[in-house]
Amino acid sequence: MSNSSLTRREFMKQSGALGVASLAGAALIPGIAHETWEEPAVIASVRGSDYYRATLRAVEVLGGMEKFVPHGSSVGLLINSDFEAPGAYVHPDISIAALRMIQDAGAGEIWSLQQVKEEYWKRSSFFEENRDLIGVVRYVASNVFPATYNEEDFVRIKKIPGSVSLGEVEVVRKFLECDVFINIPICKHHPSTLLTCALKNLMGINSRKSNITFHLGSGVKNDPEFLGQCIADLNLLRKTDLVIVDATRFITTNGPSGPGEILHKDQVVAGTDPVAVDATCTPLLGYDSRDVISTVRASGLGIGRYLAEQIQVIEYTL
Amino acid sequence: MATLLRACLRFLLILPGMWYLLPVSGQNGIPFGDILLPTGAGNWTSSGEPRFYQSRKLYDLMNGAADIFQEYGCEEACVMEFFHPSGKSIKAEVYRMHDAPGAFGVYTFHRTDYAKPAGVGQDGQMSSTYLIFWKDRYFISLTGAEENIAVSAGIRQISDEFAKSIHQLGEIPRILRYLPQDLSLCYIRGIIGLRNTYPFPEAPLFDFIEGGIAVTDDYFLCLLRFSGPSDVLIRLRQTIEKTLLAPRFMSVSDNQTEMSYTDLKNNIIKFRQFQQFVLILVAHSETTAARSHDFFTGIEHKIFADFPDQLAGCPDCPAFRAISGIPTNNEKNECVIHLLNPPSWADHANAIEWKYQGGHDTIPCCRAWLLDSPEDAYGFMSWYDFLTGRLNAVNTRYLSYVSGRIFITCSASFVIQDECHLLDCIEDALQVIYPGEPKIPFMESLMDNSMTGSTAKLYFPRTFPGLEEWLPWLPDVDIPGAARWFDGKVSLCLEFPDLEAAQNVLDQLLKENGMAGKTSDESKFVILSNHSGIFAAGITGRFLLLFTGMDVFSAETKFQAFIRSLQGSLKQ
Repeated sequence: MSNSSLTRREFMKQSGALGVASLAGAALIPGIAHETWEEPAVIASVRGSDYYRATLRAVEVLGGMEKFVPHGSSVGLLINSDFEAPGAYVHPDISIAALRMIQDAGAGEIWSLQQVKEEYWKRSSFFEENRDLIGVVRYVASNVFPATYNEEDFVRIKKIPGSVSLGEVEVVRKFLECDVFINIPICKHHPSTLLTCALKNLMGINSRKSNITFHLGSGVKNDPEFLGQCIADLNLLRKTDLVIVDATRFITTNGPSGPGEILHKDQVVAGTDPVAVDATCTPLLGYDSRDVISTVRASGLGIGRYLAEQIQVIEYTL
Repeated sequence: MATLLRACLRFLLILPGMWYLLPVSGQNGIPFGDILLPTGAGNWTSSGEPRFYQSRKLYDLMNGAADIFQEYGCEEACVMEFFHPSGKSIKAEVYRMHDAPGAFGVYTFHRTDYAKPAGVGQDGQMSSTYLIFWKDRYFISLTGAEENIAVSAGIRQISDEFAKSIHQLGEIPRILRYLPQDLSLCYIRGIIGLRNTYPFPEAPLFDFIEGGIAVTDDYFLCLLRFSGPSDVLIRLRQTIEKTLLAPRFMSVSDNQTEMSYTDLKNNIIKFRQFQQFVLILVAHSETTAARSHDFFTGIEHKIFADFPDQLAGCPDCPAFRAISGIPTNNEKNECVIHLLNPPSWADHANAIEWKYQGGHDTIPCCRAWLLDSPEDAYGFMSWYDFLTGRLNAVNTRYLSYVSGRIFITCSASFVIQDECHLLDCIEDALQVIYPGEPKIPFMESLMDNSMTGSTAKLYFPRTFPGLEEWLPWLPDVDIPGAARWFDGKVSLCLEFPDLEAAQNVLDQLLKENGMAGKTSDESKFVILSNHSGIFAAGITGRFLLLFTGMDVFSAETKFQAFIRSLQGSLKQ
């Protein structure tokens, strides 16, 4: 797997020219298989005030991190960390617990697909004892809000196969190159999509220009349908291997940056189906999963399942 | 000396770049729109260059929340950092909106139940180290980097300075006056604001201009204003269609102007269209839903009482408003005023209905409409008379007349019961009754005085709804016309802008009937195959006549009579 990535990376460096880069971007897309679901999506939901342990247990319920991270593989992490108000960012205890499991599973390299500030890690009481672990993480440093395209770290994709509304998009190259992708969002309020969780967190791999396209690209200002469809389309780029959601305490108003009204649920939710994960978390904000356009549209693209009868939630209390 | 001079020059050169560091005194401050933003408050001083973001650049300022500010009409944002000598910091974000309702609206969007009143600006609230307020067309938020008493106090000091820098007061949106004033009110300007209150069906989008929402624990009431009544009707229908398709609604019912459904959480959602408004009740219980009529009627009456201001410059409006207050003098039955929706083909109409409420029945007794023009009023009267002509079968007769832009019709049986009091009052209020029908040459020409029996006539000053479906080739302009019915025989006359337009439509009719050809005559009569339900057609100048339900001889006779009558009318 690593060799294959390296070959692609070398090819990208050699290609250089914009047009070729765009074509190469398309060649990099792992894509997803449009599955017909015979078994329900399994979601782990662990409740407890110790978020570190809750995260460990949630992944353990799903079979352990070794199931998702092969020895020596490169792992791409997308942590929603770039906010300052409480309830607007993933609790760092959860991120550190995930790092610990990935490291213990024998990952070859761990990439954070966004820059994560040191202040973020320092908010965790586990920071000091995991300083070395955190030091292992390599960052796509140029992917910091508002991120601009550069050929080293981003790739332009003219059209994602199977996408409905989304045209050209600029995404972090490492997202496509890594062997394993682990999404670590927080479920919280967002004014345009009502909920931001696993599916929408993927906008964190976009350049600012692409994100603006999501919001304004339909030609109509504030078109939630277009935005929801673009989010679903973006999730066609590659299969998410694991989602770990912070549903411990989150803002239910004034999202996504807050400050807002904070709801404490003390839950860590994990799964491999990002649609099912979103659908499981949506009621926490008082909505039905069918109210969230990106959820319904992503399901329509075969990315996952959102109906209650298609999801099996395994609950556990610490 | 030279060194001193150079130092002075250097100071003068850097001075323009430091203007934002000047303390607040006199006229000093950072220009932002029509105000000067303060650069300090107490021991708190702004530091670093303020950052400015035009509306389209808001996506550079905030990660994910720019849409809502744009929806409310944000023109520009300014971000400043204030520092205390102790190192504590406070971030100030000042949003200049296009107008004061936009600032008020974005404030109500961010307002929460758990925060406490801040007593700053026109309204503000604070929770922990986050304060928001609005004043005039400015919405301001202040966020402390850490939670402590000193930062909270600093936020209050700085917010006071910002409030002082804004000298005007803004008006609260007028639409909120129509909602219950004792509830928490929110002002919205787009789909994001609306969907954050209740996730209405995503398509078609509610393309309203503005709206107000009143929220309680048991329900919320929403009032949306659209660009016009016909627009509202179309969108409501689209919503109904979409709702029927959406799997998340359990039951849906609808009629011309109302619909309701129950969602998966057992909320009962009721819609009512009223002129250019749509009223929505989201009730959390059946008991509350049962009160929808009271909620809606209360809002409608408030709008109605306010309408002269909405129709400024309307000479007939005072008279119309005067008659809206006329009660009946019937002691046996209570007669109440209802407000009607306008006819779908006449924009900006207002309507009143007087109804008897007695026993088990509610009987309309009189109706009055205020339309856009006397021609519209006359056209609507003819349409109304045509419809009620059919009701003659159940022995209901109406007296109808037009006064300027106002069309009034009363039930004859009511007039007798009421001894004409209401009608007298209406006539007195209007003072001048329109002397007769407007002189419309082709309308006169279409009538055949030799005919007796069950006749009806219709005049429409603009394209009549449904006509485009019947004749899809009509040019995209308003086409006045007239029609008459007599024992199942129908004559229809359309007045096109010019001869060529009339010829084109006739050619299309011929083509549809397998009779290809290009009409070049100024006057032509043709027999059709009745494929489109039109038996015969003819043009004379810019007029097109269509005939159905009659034989060839009758149709051609009527066509020739029309030409003669029209020529005679035009000569006069």
